[in-house]
Amino acid sequence: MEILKVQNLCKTYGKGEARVEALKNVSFSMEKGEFAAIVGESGSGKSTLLNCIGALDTPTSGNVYMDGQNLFSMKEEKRTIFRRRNIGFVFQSFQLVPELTVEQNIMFPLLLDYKKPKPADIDEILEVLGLVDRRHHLPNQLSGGQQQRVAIGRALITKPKLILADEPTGNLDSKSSQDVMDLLIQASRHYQQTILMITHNNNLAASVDRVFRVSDGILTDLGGKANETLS
Amino acid sequence: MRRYLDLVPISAKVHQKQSKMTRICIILAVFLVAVMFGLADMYLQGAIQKQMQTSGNWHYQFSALDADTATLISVRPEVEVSGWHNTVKSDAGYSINEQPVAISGQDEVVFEDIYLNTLTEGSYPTTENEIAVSSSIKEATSLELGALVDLVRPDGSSASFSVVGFLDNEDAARLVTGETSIAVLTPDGFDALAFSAGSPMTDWDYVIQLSRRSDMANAIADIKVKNGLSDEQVTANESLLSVEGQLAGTNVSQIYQVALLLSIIVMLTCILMISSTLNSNVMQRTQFFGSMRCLGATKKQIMRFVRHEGLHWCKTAIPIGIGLSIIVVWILSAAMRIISPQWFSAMPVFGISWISIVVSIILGLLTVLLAARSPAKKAAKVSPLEAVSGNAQQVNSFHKAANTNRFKIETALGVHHAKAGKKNYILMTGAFAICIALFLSFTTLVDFMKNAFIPPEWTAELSIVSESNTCSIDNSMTEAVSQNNAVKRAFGRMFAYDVPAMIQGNLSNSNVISYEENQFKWAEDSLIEGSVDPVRQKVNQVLFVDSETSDVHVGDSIVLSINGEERKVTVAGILSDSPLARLEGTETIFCSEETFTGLTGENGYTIIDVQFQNSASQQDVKEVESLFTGDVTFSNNLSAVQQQRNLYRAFAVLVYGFLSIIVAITVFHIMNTINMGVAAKMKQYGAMRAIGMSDWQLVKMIVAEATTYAVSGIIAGCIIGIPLHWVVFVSLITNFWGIAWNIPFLALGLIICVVLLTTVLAVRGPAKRLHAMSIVENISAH
Repeated sequence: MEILKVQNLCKTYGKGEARVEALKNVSFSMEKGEFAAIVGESGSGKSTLLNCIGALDTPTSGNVYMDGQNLFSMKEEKRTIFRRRNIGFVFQSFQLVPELTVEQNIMFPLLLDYKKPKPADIDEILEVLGLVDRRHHLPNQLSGGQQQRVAIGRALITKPKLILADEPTGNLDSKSSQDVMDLLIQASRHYQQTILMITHNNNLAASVDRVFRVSDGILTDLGGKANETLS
Repeated sequence: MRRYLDLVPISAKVHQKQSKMTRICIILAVFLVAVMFGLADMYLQGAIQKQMQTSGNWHYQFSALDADTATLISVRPEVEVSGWHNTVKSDAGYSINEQPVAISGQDEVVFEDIYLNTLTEGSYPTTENEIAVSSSIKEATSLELGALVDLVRPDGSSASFSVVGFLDNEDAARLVTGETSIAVLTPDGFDALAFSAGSPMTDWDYVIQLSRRSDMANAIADIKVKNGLSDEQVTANESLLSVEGQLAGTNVSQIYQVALLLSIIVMLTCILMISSTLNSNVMQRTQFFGSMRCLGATKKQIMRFVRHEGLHWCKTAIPIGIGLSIIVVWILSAAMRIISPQWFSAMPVFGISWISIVVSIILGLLTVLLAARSPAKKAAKVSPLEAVSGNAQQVNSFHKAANTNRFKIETALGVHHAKAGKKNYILMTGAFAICIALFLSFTTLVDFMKNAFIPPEWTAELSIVSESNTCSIDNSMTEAVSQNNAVKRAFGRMFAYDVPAMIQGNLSNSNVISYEENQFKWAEDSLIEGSVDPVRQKVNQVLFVDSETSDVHVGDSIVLSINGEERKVTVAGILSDSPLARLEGTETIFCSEETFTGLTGENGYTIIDVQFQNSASQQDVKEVESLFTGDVTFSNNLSAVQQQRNLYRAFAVLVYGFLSIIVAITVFHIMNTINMGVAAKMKQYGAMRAIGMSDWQLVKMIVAEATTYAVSGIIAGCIIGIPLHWVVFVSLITNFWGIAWNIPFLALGLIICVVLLTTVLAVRGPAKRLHAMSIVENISAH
């Protein structure tokens, strides 16, 4: 079942001589439960692509369909609500709300929706994340790896159709990186969630279903189980 | 770049936009202090000038002084000008060409420097047979320079003088109070005239002018002791000493104390304002300070850097503030001179107040240095790690989580944002509070002004009084007077003086006075018991003015003996006081005209009071006066009342101008505070938007944060402002007019509305800015 469909996506910055084409006619689609990685050099347009797919940024042209709905035909307010219900984000610098506890940070998207989180759901996620004994801690009392696990928990709580992760292990040591990867793989397998992740780490890219390479704004599909391709 | 502090101007150029608010705050602080001191200085210069023009520029005058003591006094270092002065009034019998003249004898230095006179023509007399006369004598007797005149003594003998100069009539009036026809002689010439018996010098006064920088009270005490002078021998020019601030315990010095207190509050406001803008500025540049620390800057160096930044802004902000203040002082002085020339004509046109410039520079620098203390410490605390980790916004590390159970998430976060940083919370709340306190303190000036300068409602510009103090003025005259277009209202009173009255079994003396509609209305303000209406509507009902000698209450009866008949009246109301109850031991009773006529048989007025329209002139007064013939006297107060009203208007310009500035500061400060707060949390807001916070929720969060500051500020403002209002009110108003203090609900309500409205409006700008920003831009904002 197709969850994400990107059609002729273009993003241009600046005008005249300063004009930069960050994305050039990017098109691809992803199935439910698929875990894909985007690789590429710094400045190649990976983050721009992810931001456009997540509706954090507006493309110059092209469309992004989530579960058949065109994100950019929606009004701003509706798009925000759609985004918080259907897309989960994991950032390199975690972006946790510093004044909320681990538990509150995880339930934050539900609270924004004025929904009462089910204690069982929270407990389950905390259990999976291994943060049960840290539930009342503030972000500044956690290690980097723990903070990223909280960010993953926050992305999972609404059971979104798509999780976008921008270098989720970029600020972590190798042990924490592996933990985070295991969690994302588990989410993909266990909850059948579609995950699109930017990474610089070839080893991590090896453990995903599909790999895309972005170079000078052009996306190339490197195919499935990419360990041979990448090596 | 030779040293690291040279980075300050470079960094200031780059961060020009961020530091705009701080620079505006410094300009405002300097501007306010300079305007306050400048205006006070201009007013003082004007008041001193006016006082000198009224009474002369002398501080003390000694009588019955011998020549040796005078010499001893004149050589004292604090004595700037001194000399002998003697006068004879025009009614003493001296005349020139049958024109009565007053005579004034003194040296030229006393004539010019102490009595501030100038000659319009010719020169000052130098020998005993030379004379200078005022222009009025010149015109009346057709005198010319060089002419010989005979000054005729009271005994008919005369002395001949050569006319060497003419003086200005108005200036000459200072030499002999109230006179315009004046002849001026040298001391020798005055003595030669020999109008006084015995030793001539004993009747002379010795006047001195002291240095403004000396302690005059001490100087005069020392002069008295060293020369064995009695208190009777020394006369002080109290009005001049008072405006020069040389007289302790006067009302003027009390007003200065209040002004100083208000200046300190202004200073405090500015310190808080600059401190909070600097704080926000520093918070926005955490990464910059972190990088400096990474590169090896010590905490001390960072603190010095922040302080230098503040001082760097002063370089342009202080001159701008002073420049603006000079222009505003000129405008205000001009407005005051135009509105009330009688009081402020002596204010300088383009005066520069050096005191205000020096004070504002010192206070400006001091304010910035004091305000920079806390932000400098904050900047120094930034760890190098925060700069490299990219998690700089967590510099404000939280110790307590937000309470998401009680409020909706965005409200909970907003309240928590406000309260989490204790220092910041106190600073912001304090800034709001001090604005409120400042406003409340200054509103007392409105009450002060009203009490000091507005004539009471019943003040009459013209009173027409029966010469025989009887009811001899035809009551139809009020109608005739009212016909004049310049007349606002005319009303009369009938008086029955010294009426024996039996009050509670005791025989007293009383004055019975009739009131009409206007006067009954004004009397309601001083009603302490009963009602005015029965007196208006029914006969034999009266109002009684409370006095120490009687204990009369509503319902009591008073028996009046008028024209040999006993008439009973009933007290319907008690008044606390009346402008007409001034005679001790005589009770005052007011009744309606109908009752008065019933009691006395009289229906004519004793006094008719006339109030004119604002535009009325002396010509209008004359027209009204011309309606009356014989048996009346006129008391014309039109110019005095108009002067007083003009003085009120001039002060109103000042007071309301200042209040507007305070409200503007409050509005500006709240806007600035909220703007800064949002700017400092840009990145965090970006993250929240990325996770799914809608723009509307974001606005609600900022409103919640701003409202938390506003509500806490209002509470703190009331706690500080109301007692402060009490202190200023008691020292400015209760002490002078005995009016009791009340909670200033109107002023309080007004400023609370301004604060709340501004808070809500202040959110609009940052919310619009955030809305226009893409989330990606928002997350990467610094």
